Amino acid sequence: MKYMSEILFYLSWPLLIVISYQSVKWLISKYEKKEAELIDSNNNSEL
Amino acid sequence: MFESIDLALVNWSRAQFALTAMYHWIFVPLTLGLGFIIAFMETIYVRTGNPEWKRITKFWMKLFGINFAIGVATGIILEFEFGTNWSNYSWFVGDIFGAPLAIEGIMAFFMESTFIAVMFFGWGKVSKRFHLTATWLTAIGANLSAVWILVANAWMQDPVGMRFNPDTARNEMVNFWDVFLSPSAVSKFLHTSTSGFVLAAVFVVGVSAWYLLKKREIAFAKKSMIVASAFGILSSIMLIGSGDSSAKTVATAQPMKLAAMEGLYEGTTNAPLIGMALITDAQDKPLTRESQAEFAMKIEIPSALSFLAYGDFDAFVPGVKDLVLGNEEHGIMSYKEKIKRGYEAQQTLMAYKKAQKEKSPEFAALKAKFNDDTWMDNYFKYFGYGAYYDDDPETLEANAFKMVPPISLTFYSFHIMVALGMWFLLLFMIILFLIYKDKLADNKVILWASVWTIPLVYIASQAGWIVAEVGRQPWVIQDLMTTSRAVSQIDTGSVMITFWLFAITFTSLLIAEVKILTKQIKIGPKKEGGKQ
Repeated sequence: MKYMSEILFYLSWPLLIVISYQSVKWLISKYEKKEAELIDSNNNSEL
Repeated sequence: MFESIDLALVNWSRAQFALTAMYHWIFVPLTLGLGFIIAFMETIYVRTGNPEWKRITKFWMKLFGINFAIGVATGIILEFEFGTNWSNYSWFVGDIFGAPLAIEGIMAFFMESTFIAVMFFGWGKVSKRFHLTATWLTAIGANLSAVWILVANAWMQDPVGMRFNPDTARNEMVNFWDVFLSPSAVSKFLHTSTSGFVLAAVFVVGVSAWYLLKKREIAFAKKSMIVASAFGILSSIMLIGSGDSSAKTVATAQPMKLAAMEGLYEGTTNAPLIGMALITDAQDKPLTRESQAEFAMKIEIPSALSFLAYGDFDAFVPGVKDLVLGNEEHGIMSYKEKIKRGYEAQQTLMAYKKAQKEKSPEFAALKAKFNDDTWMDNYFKYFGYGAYYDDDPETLEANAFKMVPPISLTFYSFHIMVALGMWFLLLFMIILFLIYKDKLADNKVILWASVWTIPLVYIASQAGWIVAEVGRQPWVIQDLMTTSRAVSQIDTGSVMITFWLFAITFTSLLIAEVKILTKQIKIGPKKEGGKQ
């Protein structure tokens, strides 16, 4: 198809948004989990 | 050929358009990228129900709103300038350029503006999911409206999908898909929109770093930085990929721009890419066949330019002189020959108009030329070059060298853009690494570097457009129309006055934006349930 590579190239744009969101979601969940563990360990040490 | 053109009018018109476009591009990229960063944040809020994420979303949304409102004003003026200052251009290609511009207007005014109202004023009035949808559609709408103006710009750099109509002396679109799906259009959209994503990511990282330096809103700042850095890294990777594809389209459609970007006077196989250099401006005096590239110092990457331009380390990359004087060995037609052919195309058009008016018997033969694909490819393709024609061979060669764009400005803009782009990617990676090692809040060097990277990202962004627009001079439409021919024949004084009026207005808008943004940043995110 004449425009196949151009169409695929355009489609990389929504793919970037989807991958970015998934990466953000994963990194934030990892960070929040780590923060929660830190707070728990601080609370336990205070007790 | 130049006597009839008022260069003061051309230069003031160019200055006015450049001023408007550069100011417009201060506001737009932040809108393009921050919209998605906000959408990511709000999606996390809706999925988790954590009110902290609502607070984070609302803060960045406020900054987005300030930037959006001020940016709209510059964009509207830009569109009017096509008609007021560039009416010859609008006449010559309005049939093609007008279509994407109209779609851009519809997208911007209907999609983006509708949903932005829900995004700002809909909190608590519509459901969480409806509000989230409005936020996403605002972000997508802003970028979709950018697609069309970038398709229009790409067409000016690589005109395709049209046919010249000698009766109206206008180019008319014959294939919309050729215009929309040209490799130049795709590369331009991806490269420009992802540059906006990177700019917004740097903005969020820089502002958040300021909070960390002030030891305020630590959790808010770190979470914002994670979202922005992750988006920044992925966008930077795509920015590099689309930059590579842009270089390949430039090598094909605008080889002179590529030569100027690299300060390449003599073409070569295995052409090296300059990593860093200080160029001595040879354009202090007019370029001639004796001119040489002069560098005070340079660091090169062997064969990289050949690969960047043609995907082949051994490829021949033409230099400025190969393009102006021609290179038979590599099948490159000289500018001098193109000028002669363009002049013949212009003369044919004038003869056509005369024969049409006088109902001359020559008319049919002249009309046949404009319907003949071979003649169009061999002569009309170089129509714009005819503006540089002169009977005297020496003057013609001097005119051909006048068609070389400003090399130093194009060269430095390109290299500044690339170097800063690499720095942004490195910064995002360092930020993420330090956050996960829990060492970011103590690292003042990186935090201050993040703050000071905010002005740098705007410099890189402007430099990118300087490469695109200065590097393509003297063309307003590549090979077909020079910038000087595109200008409206209006009073130079009017253009000067409006230039200064716009300069004062835009500067005031920029100062207002910076003041309002810094005030809101100093206030910080709203405390949940309390005052700001």
